[in-house]
Amino acid sequence: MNKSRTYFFSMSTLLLIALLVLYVYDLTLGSVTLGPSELLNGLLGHEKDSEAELIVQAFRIPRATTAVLAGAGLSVAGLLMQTLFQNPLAGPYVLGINSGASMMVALSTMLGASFVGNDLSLVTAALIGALGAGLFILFCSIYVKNKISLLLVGVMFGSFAGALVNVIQSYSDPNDLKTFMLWSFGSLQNVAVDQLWIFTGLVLLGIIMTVFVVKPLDLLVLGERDATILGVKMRQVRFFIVLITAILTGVITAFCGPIAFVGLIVPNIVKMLYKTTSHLQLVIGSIIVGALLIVLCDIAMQLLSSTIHLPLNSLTALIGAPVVVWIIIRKF
Amino acid sequence: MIRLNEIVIGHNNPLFEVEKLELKRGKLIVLIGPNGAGKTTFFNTLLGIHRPVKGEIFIHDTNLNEMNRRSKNQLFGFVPSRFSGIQHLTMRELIALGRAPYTNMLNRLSKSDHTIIDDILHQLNIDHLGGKSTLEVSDGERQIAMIGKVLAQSTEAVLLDEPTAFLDYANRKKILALLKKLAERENKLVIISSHDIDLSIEHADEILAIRKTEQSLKRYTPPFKKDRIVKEVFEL
Repeated sequence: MNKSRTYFFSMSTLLLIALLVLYVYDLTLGSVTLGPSELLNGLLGHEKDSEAELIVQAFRIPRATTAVLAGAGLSVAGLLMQTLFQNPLAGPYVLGINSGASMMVALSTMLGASFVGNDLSLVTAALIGALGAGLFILFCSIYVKNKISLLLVGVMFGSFAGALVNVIQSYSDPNDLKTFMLWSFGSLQNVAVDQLWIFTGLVLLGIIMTVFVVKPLDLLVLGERDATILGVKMRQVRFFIVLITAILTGVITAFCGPIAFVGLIVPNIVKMLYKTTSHLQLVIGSIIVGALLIVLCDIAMQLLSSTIHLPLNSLTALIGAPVVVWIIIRKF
Repeated sequence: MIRLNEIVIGHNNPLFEVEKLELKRGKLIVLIGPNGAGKTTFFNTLLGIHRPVKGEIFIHDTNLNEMNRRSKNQLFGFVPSRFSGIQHLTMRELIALGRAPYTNMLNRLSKSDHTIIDDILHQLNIDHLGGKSTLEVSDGERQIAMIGKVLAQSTEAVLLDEPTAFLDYANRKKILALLKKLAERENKLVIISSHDIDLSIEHADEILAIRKTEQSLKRYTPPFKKDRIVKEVFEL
């Protein structure tokens, strides 16, 4: 028991140090590359209102922090889906939860069907879409017992929502269409400084809520029947897990656009690295590894930006799809 | 411990009737019957997963339906017929999951929980397997660990759904002897379902048989007569 705890702590510390180093490195990258002294200056603000301070505080920190939160949130959402449906290939993207959010965002930006004010309208729309898709897949899981079939239902829902979005696009005016297209590429630079607090708050809320399902998740690895006999209130737990997933996926999708596969591959990497079924450890691992992966993606995008402009959604799909095939070959 | 009085067992449609039955602690009871007679439904009814079609079940004079989940999961433990193991889950961690009703929100094991788990590993003679993954051990060893998990739950009764169905002859004998010992020494009510008439006759304290055509439950006490049971239950 103690040996596995020590292993968990050393692995987490190692990954955290890597994350910190990459985060700081990411802060130096962008349209202007900052040297160590300029970065320090920008972070601590020795010279007031310097150019470095403006760049770091207004652009770099929001971008890198968004990367950390998006990676962490999507990975935790993926882990919850995988344990709930007992399927290593589940994740918010394959199950169509992203698509639900995208569809509502499309409705809101292009048809002007906004719910509240400006920023919040996008978030609210994405949340409603994500929750709707989550409840739909939960409802289907009652009837579809086969693991692969449930994934197919998610994929079908995704293409249905995608087709609806195409229909909406053909009716919308060019400006709205452009806004939507840019959003759908996925970007870590859409969160402005004054929005960073809402974004951080909502993602942290979702992550903190998982504390309440850690124990049910531990028992769910044995199956729903065993979990029920050991005291898990399945109905409540199922709904709560879908709610957390919807908050995390909805908020991140609203601010960063759809990000493919992160929620699917990170929990699988974490299980390989940590070699445990303890969900407290797996959640913490998913937060760190998820953040690490998206910060790495951002670094890659910044380094390549002079030669090609690589959208985030394409990059994660380029990495993610082969990993998914590899998981299928190993486990099925 | 468990009292059933004029109860119709079934899920949606009735399967069989139990006229009068009292199950006491300290006994190994084997439930037999043809496929589809309702063995699993009977277990699910006792576990409170679904209600009987007619009548109520009483446990220590309390209606099973009025019991809260907490007292229910300290009354019944359940072992499915097959557990195929989970990656990265060790035998010790599997047994530890049985402590879940007693741990805190984060499922953290206390010192006394660890002592209980150590004792169970020792009692089942699998100390040396504690750190092994549930995927690396044999079917028999995994089934013993599943029994360890219900022991960790420390319930008054344990239900096992065909616990020997996927085991070889030596492991079947071993598991049944172990269950008999548990019933006697730990004063638990152990109920298993089985298709293995010979082993059941050899080890059971009581045999309950579901008779499909008559839609009734018949109780046999030792000495068991195999020919009679087979004729009455399986109509051969």
